Amino acid sequence: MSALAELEKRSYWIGIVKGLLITGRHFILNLTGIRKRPTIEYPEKRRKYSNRFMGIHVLTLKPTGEIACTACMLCATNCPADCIHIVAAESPNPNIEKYPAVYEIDLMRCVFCGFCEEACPVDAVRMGRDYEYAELSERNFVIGIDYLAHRPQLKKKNVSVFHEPEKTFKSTVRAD
Amino acid sequence: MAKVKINGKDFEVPTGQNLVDAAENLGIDIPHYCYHPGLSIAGQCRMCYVEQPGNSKLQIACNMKCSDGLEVITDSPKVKDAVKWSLEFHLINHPIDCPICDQAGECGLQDYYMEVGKYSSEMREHKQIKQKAVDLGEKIVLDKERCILCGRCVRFTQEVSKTSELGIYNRGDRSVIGTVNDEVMKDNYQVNTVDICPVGALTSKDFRFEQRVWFLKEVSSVCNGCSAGCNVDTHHKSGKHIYRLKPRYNPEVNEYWMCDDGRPTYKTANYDHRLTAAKLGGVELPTNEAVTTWMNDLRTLIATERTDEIAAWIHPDLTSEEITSIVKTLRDEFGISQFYSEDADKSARDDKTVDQLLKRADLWCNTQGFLKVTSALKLKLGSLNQLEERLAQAKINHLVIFGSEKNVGVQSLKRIRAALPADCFTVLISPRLQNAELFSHSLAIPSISHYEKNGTIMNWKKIEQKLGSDFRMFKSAWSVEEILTSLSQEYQRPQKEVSRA
Amino acid sequence: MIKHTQHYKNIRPMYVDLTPQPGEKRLLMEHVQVPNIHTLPVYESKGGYQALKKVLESKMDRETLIKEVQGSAVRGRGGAGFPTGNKWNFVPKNTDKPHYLLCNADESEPGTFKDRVILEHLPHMMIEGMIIGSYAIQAARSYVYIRGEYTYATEIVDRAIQEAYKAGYLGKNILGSGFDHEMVVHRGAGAYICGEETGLISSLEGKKGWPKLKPPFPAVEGYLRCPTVVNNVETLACVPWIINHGAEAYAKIGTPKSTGTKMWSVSGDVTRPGVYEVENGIPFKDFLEKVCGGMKGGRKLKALIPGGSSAPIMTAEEAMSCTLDYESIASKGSMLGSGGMVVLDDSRDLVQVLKNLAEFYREESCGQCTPCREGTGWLEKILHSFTERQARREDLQLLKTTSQNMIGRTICVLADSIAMPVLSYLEKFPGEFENYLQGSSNTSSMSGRVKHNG
Repeated sequence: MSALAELEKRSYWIGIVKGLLITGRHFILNLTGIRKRPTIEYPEKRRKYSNRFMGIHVLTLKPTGEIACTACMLCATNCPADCIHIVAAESPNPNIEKYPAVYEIDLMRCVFCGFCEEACPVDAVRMGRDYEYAELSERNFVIGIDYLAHRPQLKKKNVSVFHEPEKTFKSTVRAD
Repeated sequence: MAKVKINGKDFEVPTGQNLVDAAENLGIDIPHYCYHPGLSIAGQCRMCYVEQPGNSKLQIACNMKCSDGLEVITDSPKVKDAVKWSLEFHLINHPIDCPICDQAGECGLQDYYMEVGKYSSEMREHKQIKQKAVDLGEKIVLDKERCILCGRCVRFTQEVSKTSELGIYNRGDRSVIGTVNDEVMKDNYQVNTVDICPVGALTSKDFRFEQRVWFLKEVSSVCNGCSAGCNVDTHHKSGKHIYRLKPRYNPEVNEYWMCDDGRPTYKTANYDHRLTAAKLGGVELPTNEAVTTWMNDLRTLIATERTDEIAAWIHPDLTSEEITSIVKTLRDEFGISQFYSEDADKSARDDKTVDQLLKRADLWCNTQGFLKVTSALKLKLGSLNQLEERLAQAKINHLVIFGSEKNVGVQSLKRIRAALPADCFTVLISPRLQNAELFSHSLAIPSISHYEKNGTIMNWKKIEQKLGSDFRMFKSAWSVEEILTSLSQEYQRPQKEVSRA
Repeated sequence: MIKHTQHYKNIRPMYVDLTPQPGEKRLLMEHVQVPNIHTLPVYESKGGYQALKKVLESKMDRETLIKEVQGSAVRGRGGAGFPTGNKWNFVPKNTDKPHYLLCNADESEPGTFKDRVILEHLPHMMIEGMIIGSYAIQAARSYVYIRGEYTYATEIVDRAIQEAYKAGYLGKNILGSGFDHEMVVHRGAGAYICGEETGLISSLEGKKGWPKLKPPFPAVEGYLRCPTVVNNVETLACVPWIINHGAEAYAKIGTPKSTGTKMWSVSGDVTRPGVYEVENGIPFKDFLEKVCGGMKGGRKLKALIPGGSSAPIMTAEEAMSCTLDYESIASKGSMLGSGGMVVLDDSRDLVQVLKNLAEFYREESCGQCTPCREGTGWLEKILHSFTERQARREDLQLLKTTSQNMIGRTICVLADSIAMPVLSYLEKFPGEFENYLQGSSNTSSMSGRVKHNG
């Protein structure tokens, strides 16, 4: 046996130093950014999602500001989780015949499949880009027209392309 | 019977029957809009083309009556192409209203489009513009653009309800359906035009925007508005809410129609009019506990042979089976002898037709059945006056009231309430919330409404008709038979325990 | 007496020069230039009412009378060309329902104004024919359905009927024969569709002028569901001549299948437009040169519409090689129709002509059955886009398929009346449409469409 190996067998601190050197190597590589970590430092940095990301739904508006939905209930019919609840009503605006007085989506039931967006004939409901939603009570997960159409994250950009045919299909609802 | 040949196959059909009807009975669908078996033949829509061998010109089936030797073809390429183009002509000026139109899901244009449509329309010109959402009174909304001018509603008001309120104005593709000067309609049968309109031109205000029809299921029932007993289909969603009634074909009772006064009778079945939980003195309790409470008071009276202090109040809206079970349980099993009811004899005597069509003056739906069952079971009935007297004399300590869900029974209940002494134990068995509120201090047990019942009622012509329902709207509302069965079970149960001990 | 001149003081009779032209053969219009020929005394002095006297005083058997008319092979002059004798024969003989004879004086076919001459100048000839016809079909009552716009003619006819009543040719026991007859004038209200026989019957019944489904045919179930015969004014005016001179004499004139003479109302680019009566079978070339005085301004003939706007159009070559009878014109793909001839020279734009026709038919469609109601509107909108130079190449095919799918699919033939001409224009003058396409401002689909709906 060599003298170094003998020394190592006898004294405990060499193992400690070796271990600490391994730890130190990881520490320095991570701290200085030489090694690329997959971890994203949320909430300061957020992941960039694709154009087709399916987040919390958005109800679009007509160019005049009224809601574009005509309460045809195709989204509620197509929904596999049966989470959309619509009550149709006569609109006070004489130019519009039918509009949803109540449009609620139960986010606890929703599976974010996007069938509602596919079913809608007038581009009234879309899957948006928001995914952050935390509440303390289960009943607050039923979102209504206020949140769906008028939340500040939308920045008033949710205009239905059915009413603006010249616009190309660009996602107008980027949250970032 | 005549021998006809359709699509190469031989069939035997009644002679003189319309070809469209005959084909439908044989399972062959001939598309049509303007033809209706209850109205005269118009031949306007030009959809029901059939080909006759030897005739190069296509004929319309609705103008043909079945006779010996008639031979037609309905599925040749020529016929199919003609039907396709006829549908195209219907659609070129039709507005694309499907999302906002109530008829979606039961629309004639949608159905035939999926079957035979020319899926790529070639119409590129601007469509005709006509008035939309015209208010025709308190029951109907007219959309003149959606109308395909089949003329069914016009022929209905001319031939069936004989008010001629609807007509066709202007010529050509400016033609519109309407009333004179867009006046309101006063016909009591006007909502039938909504039923026969194949598209969403005439829609019912009561059903407007309420629900999409593909969510609704139908069960067959009979209207409880009057003694005519028009057959209806009840449209409900998942057995939780009834949305509308539509008439069902019955050649002996109501043919294809029903009056407008019978249409809102479903509203008393929905939650805002219903007693949804049993109540004792205003406090809610489960229904089986309510039955137990009832039995407790009843048992003391039966045990001490004071059954003459128990009275029961029934009404002619109950089905024959319900009356039978009431008599069997209360009279035969418990020995109650005092039964009081509405004056069914008077209702039957004063019953006559109100408008020479369907509606009748007797607003109870089972008067004839009530009379038949009570006389068959030899039930002695007292009148309201006699009940009031006995209540005033404080001779009744236990009163069982079977309350109707209709307004027509409220007057009697108010009188009973007024005459009721404070110490009389009252049990109210009714679906109606207002009745329970009237008898707020008593035990109220919720029963099912008319459109959830399974039973038999008899109309003024003594025709027995079945109510066939398959849904229950509230778990705590039981049928009268179920309540009485559980009461009788309750009656028998402790005796066994006593005997065991 | 109908008192309506209070409202229409300024209506004057039609200005038409009725001088006989070389080449004409006048059977009906023989005495049309005699002053006051529309009054009874003058008419009788020229041999009027002899036929009626012959029929009633000899108590001619109804079968013989109908056979006489059938023998003359006179065809309906209103447009359909159905043999009149056969039509009278279809009326069932032994029914307890009253029979009716309706005279179709609702002359609304564009280009046709020949009946107006008979109504304004020769009403008694028509009345005489009607009484004879009513006798033949055992009708106790007949109606003259005269179009609402002919106010002056209505007055003339009404006065003529009053004169006939006074003279005993109408009313009870006419000429001592035991035959009673009442004749009533009924005014229309401005609808082309009421010139269709079942549309006329509906209008006379007081309903909307909607044609009825056939079967049942009017000869079996017509006015008030009784046997009815509807005849044109000219057809009924032919009857007295046939009775007076015999069926063989009438059958000798004209061609074997198109017997007798026809009144033609010529308009368009000719030197002498007007109403002329010529023998059936005269070559069109002679008719144009001799009777109408040739093309106006010496221009070239481009197209001919022979029988009112419902007739398919004929090219100049076809017109010049045909004779004016039912068979020859039918062999060229058109129809003789009502005899409303419109002559078009080479300065005329045929697409514009077709669009005018489409506007007319869209306006006049009754709206009962879907292919006509929607199809006429669609054709007019497409043709409007042509004249606005906004048509696409696919529109040519679309016009063709739409028209093909309107023919034979409707209750009456108004849809055919626009669809067949459209097909004929597309087939015979495709170059006209091409001109509009080439100058078209766009060939793509939706944008920039000129908004047009009635």
